[in-house]
Amino acid sequence: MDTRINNLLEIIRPRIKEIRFSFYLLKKNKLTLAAFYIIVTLIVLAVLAPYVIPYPSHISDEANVANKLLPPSREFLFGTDELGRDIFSRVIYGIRISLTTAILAVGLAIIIGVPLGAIAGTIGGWADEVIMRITDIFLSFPPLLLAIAIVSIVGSSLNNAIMAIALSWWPWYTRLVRGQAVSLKERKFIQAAEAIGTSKWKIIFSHVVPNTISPVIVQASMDMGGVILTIASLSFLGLGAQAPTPEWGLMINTSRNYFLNAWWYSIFPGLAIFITVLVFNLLGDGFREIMDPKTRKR
Amino acid sequence: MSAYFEIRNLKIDYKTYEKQQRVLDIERIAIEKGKTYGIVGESGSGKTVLALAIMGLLPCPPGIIKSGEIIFDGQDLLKKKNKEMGEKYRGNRIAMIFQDPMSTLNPVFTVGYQMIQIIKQHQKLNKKEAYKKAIEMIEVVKLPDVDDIMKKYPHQLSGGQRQRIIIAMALACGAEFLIADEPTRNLDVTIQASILKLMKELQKKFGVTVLFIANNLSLVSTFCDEIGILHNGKIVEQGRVEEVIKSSKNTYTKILIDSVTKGESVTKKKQEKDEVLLEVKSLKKYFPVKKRKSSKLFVKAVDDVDLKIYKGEVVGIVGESGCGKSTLVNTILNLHEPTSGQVLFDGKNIFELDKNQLRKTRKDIQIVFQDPYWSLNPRWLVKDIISEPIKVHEKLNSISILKRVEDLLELVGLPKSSAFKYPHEFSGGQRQRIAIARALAVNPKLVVLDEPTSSIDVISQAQILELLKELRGRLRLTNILISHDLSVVNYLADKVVIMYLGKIVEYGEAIEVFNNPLHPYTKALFNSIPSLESSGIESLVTLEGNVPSAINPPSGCRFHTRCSMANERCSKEMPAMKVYNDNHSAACFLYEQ
Repeated sequence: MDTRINNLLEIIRPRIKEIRFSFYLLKKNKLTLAAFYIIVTLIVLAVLAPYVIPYPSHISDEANVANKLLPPSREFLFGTDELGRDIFSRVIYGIRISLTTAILAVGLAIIIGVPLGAIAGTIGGWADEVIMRITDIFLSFPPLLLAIAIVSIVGSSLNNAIMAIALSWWPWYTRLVRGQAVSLKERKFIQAAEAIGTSKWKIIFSHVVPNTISPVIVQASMDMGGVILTIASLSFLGLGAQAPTPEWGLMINTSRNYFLNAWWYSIFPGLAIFITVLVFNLLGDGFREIMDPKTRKR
Repeated sequence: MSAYFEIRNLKIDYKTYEKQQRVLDIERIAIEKGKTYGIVGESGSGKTVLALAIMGLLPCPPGIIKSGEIIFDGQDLLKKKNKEMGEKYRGNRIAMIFQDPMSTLNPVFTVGYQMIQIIKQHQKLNKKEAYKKAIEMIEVVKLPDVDDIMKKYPHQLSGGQRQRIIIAMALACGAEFLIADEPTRNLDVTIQASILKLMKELQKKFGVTVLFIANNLSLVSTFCDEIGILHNGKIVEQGRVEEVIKSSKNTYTKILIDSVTKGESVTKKKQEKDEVLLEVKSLKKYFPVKKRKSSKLFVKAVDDVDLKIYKGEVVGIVGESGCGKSTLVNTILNLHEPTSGQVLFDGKNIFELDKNQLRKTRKDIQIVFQDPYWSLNPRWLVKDIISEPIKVHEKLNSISILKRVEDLLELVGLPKSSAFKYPHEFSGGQRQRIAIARALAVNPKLVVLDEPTSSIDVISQAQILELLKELRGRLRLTNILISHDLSVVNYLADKVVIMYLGKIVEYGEAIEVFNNPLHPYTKALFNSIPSLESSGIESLVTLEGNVPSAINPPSGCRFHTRCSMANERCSKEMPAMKVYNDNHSAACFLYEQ
């Protein structure tokens, strides 16, 4: 048993060292570090949302018409909406919705895209031809337009929006991973595995896929921002989250009617979208620098 | 009074994640005008940092120049501003020749255009004069068809030709001081010899001072007047070449010299084995070239090769790059489909096996690749890497697999705890040991060693060779050893196959071939390699011209275009392999009578 624990330690120790090294690189870029902390805060807020917001009941369509459209004050930090609900509570709860939907959508896109890309790149030939032509078809539509088309076919709901986004996003991962796989195929360890007699599938999933992880993570963290934006756009168009869900895009859509006399109603959800998308983009850039030494600043 | 070029008390630090590290600490290097100073060191010893510091190109940070002076012709280069270095020194008076000429030349411009641009910039000449100068310099570096060369793009030239162009550029701008950072590392031995000869000749003609940097002691000692051994950023020993080599005082230098001379004094007992393990019968492998639709061109990588390998012997396959040795082996491993011919392993033609039998053969033939940095999956633990073949070919539970992995690690001389580490935590030599352990994991009958030592350091090289030799004795392995390094082949192989342009030109017992080479190509190959004993660069034999294209190989004997003994018959008929004495055969007309 003792040796087992020792073995485990042997595995963990260098990992810790590596993580510390990544942190060191992260710290060198102040902007990325700031983005990293903001994202950690966002995640904590998302997890704890029901407990930290001042008016948990305001995330449903409970109406307090007496408080409707109040400007920001000490009581209502971001003001209230047309039903007298606290916008601050709703924006904070919105983090939870945006992050989970974005993670689900990106995750789904990765699950579809990465294996297909690895297969196309490693096997080549007709498999490559078929898979890449299909991705080309998907890529020939603007992602938002494709998502709108899919949602309008299957019906508008948040879950359908997630699916639609994943369906319009996976080809990017397929392309990325295919490129990686093609260059990995030249690496000797793939040839060594072939010479050993390892099966094609094993080569694809245990040699090729793990080695494409870094660029996929970079791409995923950059895409998070884009996906959050797309979900907000779909909701804004009424194709994503449905009332009374406190989704940012949906909130902005509703706020259009009160735009002239209640600026806070549209500004704060908008700011939330802006900040979240920005920090994810910054983090993506930072990840790229950490994982790809070539783009590292001296 | 200081010398023409002098480094004093140079201390350079590198700032890394954990600590600031001294990478270079040189007390004094002095070079007189017109002399050649060689620096020998392993990778990571600070060679390139030194070169970059002299050129004023050291990236800071992470580099930090702590103290010291680099004095060139009475001026301290470290005190010069970057702009002044660029205008007055770098490229003008001090030039650098890099390892890889392809990355030095811009691939989108013709060679001539680039030369003219550089000459115009540095010599302040107009276009016409610059053109004349460029032509003159290309003639100086002995490239044929000057006008033709000027119009070519870098990728259309061979490695040797590109390196000549770089030398021409350096000299055209009037360089007096040349830093050559492993200028022949990526070149074949015969080309290496001719580039070195050219450099020596031009050095005399133009009175250039050279700082020659390499990791190969024999090469440096042949080329240079004085030599400095760089180890961990310090010059551990320096002086005239003969003194350093004959009476070295430093332990590191001694190890270095030992590791170079090792392969040369071993005698091998002849082994009589009857059982044929692998037989290659008129194997051909052509790769199609897509140029135009109508014309069907092929690269004849392996052309009609016959070979027999007996159980328990080590066969070395030697040849320059592009001679087809790797293709031959990859075809034997069944990684390529052959164009025609047979490979019989244990009596069975491996190209006619069904899936199951093929898997069994795969178990019996294993390979150790050249580059241990890319032959191990960087995302796998060592235990998973080594156990990959075991998992594919044998059904064992995880505990007995781990036991086997630990035994294998011990066998190749690594601690058991290595099993739970990742490849990047090991040095090149250790990684190669892991690769060897993987190859031995399923008790193969044949292990192919594809340049097993060429991308690791000299000292680890010697250790790996020792290990291979020991394993061979212990496990009675049959090996195919591919290498362009003759001392490696001499050290390990029982039989030697010499290949040139897809054909075997000579074959025989290693001792026989090394002591009494028959084919002119073999002779040239052997004599073009610098060794500690060779007396100066002039003693090296060079081959004229480039290796002809394998798409359109010369008629008759493929070597006749570069052979000094060729006559008319050689260009018309293809000489057959003939046995001369005691299993020693060659394909050459010289021995026909």
